[in-house]
Amino acid sequence: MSREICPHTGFSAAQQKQWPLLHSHQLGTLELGDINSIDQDYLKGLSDEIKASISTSRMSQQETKARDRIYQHLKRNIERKLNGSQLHAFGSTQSRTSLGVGDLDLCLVVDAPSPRKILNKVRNILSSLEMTEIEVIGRAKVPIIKFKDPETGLPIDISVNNELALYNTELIRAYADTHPMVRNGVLSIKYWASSRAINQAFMGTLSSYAWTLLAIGSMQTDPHIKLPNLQNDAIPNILKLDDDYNVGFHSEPPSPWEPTLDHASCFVSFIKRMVFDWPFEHDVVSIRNGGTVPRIEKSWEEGEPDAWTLVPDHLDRRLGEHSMPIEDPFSLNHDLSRVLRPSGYLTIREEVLKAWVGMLNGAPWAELSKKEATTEIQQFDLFEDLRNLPMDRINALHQETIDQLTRSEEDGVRLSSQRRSIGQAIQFALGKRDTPPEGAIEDDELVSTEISESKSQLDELILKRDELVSKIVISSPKISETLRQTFGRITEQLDVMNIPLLEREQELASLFFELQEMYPIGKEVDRLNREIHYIKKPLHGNIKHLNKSEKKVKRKIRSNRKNTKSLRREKGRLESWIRIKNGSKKTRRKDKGEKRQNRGPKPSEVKKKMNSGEALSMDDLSTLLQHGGVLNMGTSKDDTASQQRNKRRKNKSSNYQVRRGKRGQGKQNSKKE
Amino acid sequence: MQDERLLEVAPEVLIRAILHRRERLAEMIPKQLNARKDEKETAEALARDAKQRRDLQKSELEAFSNQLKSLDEGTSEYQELLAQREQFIENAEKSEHEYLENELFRRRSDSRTKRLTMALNDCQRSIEYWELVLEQGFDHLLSDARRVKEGGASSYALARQKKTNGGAQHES
Repeated sequence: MSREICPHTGFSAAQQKQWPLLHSHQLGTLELGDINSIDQDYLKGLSDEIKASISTSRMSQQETKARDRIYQHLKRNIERKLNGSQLHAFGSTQSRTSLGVGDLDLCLVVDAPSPRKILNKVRNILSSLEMTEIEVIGRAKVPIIKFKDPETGLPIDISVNNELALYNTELIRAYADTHPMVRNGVLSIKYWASSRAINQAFMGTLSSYAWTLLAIGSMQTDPHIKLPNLQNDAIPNILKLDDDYNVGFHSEPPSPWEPTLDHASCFVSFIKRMVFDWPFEHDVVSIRNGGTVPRIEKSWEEGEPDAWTLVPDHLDRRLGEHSMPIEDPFSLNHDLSRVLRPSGYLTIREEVLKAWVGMLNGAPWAELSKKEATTEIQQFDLFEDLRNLPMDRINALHQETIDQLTRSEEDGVRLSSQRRSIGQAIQFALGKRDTPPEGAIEDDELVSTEISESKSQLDELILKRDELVSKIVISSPKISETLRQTFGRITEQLDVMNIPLLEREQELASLFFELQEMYPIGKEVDRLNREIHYIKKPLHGNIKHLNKSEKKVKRKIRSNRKNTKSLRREKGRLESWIRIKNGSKKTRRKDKGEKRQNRGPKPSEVKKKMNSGEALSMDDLSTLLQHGGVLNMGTSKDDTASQQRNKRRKNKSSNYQVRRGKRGQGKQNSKKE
Repeated sequence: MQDERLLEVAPEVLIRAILHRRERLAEMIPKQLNARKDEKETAEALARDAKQRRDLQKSELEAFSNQLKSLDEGTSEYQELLAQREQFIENAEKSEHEYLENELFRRRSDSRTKRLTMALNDCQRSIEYWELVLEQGFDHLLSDARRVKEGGASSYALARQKKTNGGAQHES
């Protein structure tokens, strides 16, 4: 790094190059014309350009649908596997202020004491759904799990119990819905910030959400726009989380509001304010307060050190608190600028100057919003790798996939049978099953034989022991003790005042002789117990071994299922492509000459049975439920052929897009799930 | 005693041991019985005397109380008698206490004598019985042992069965 430090700004030569306008501005050498210096025709042209760029950058219908499909897929699976949970989408896509880039934000609302445990469960679910790059960030204030959809590469975040974010989304959406120009204003500012790469909180600049709040705040304070404050005088709605949050707001402006705006006016007004009336000098940007609130009122004084004191060599240090304070509309202690780093702060200031100077110089929108870096969802094409392949190669691939699938399915059957046998062997060894396993256990045949032998020996010994125990009832030590006590009572020296009766003496003598006979039986029971223990020890070892084998087989089964699933998907994909290339339609079951499976009795037959008072079978009841229960049975008629045709057509009409096999809203898939 | 040695104890040996113990007791009891009889006679005499004394004191106290009731409280004679009243009561209590002590002693002596008499009788009966057993055999004492030896249930097992069945019957 060059050590030529500017004595006025403290910028090094490299920093002067990195932030030239800011440097000049600080030196007072930058001439900044006011709004009147901008040509009106230029502004009109700029408005058209912004309009065009926003409309092209908006999320396509296909992308929206793809995102929605992923969301629905995750919602279905997670809510089913986590009882009582609800998965909500939030963020710019939901508030309709999305530029068609960025991740999919989801919030899992679940009543659980430990969000980390929940995230671990979610991770397992996501693994089973074959999501990739799963990363759990459990220690954050809002625990989060990050991952990617394997097919689209779309990054997805799931946060746990981040309910405030849902209300934030609703509020932004309400603002965006007040007037189309508000949405366009927000989009133009977000587009510019995104293009100039100053909307990356992880890089030390502001988040996209913070730019949205800045845009709304700017429109609220601009005297020509006067965007109404939707939280002003709204009915309080207290949300109880770690604290009480008032999330009440008006869903539409309290009084009619019809601004005269174009696409450029919001953007120009925003940049002008940032250049000439830097709003963070004495204020905090707060849309809750209609644009700003004094720093003093919030006690959000700018903390040390500020960015200027950290140049040129300490830009890696933390920036003081509230350097560009932006208040969250609901979480009032949350300053969205806390992510800022010194270089991010300086870059933001440089960029607003650059935008203003650009507009003064009549730069087109393309130049003002020249892209630095962007993240886009990969365009998904199911047949991309097949397009350039010849048909014979595709047919060969198809055949190869079918062969692999057959092998994989056979392996699956074999593994399942093995697992069943191991399970039966364990049950048998534990005495929960009377007969040894039906099938052979691969690799563990010896163990299985040992178990069978030990088990029969053990059963025999246990039977023998139990028989003896049932005869003598008391244990060997107890027999020994009672024998000694009885002998003592019979022979001990007596006090003349405590002499037992003759009958008691007779009983004791008889018991003594009986105990003498019970004694060897007790010892035999002890011996049998030792022998049982001796056999049980290796048996338990074998059970442990089988448990391990079972786990191993289970892993293999999981892997096999995954493999089979992907092979089936691949087979389906190849068949679809072959059909597309051949220009033929999908062969229906009817065309193949296959008979439709018996789906139970017809409703009319069930109705007849009901009327005649006959007993209904389970199939009849199932048909009854499928056709709306007893009440509807009387009125509904069997689906006619034309109705069924209509249904099929309806299903087909919503099925025109290329599906990825397992997801989608297809009837078959939903049935499977 | 070690288990092994207990297992070696034959029925006849055990019965002889029981008989021997009884015989020794039968020798010891008459001496003690005579001593207890003398003690009993002394105790009866003491108790009788104490009872007579107590009854006398009781009747004197009654007469004194009647006399006191018949006088006016304000008279000097009444006051004189009242001063003597404590003495009368004290004497009556003392003789009552003495009587109770002697009576308790008499009862205890009587009980001991009776118990020893019974023990002597029981010892004589036992000696006759065990001698008879030695002469005529002890098969009836070995019936439980024989059942166990032959693979049958012990008396513990039978008691349990009885309890279970009794419980089941009671429940039903």
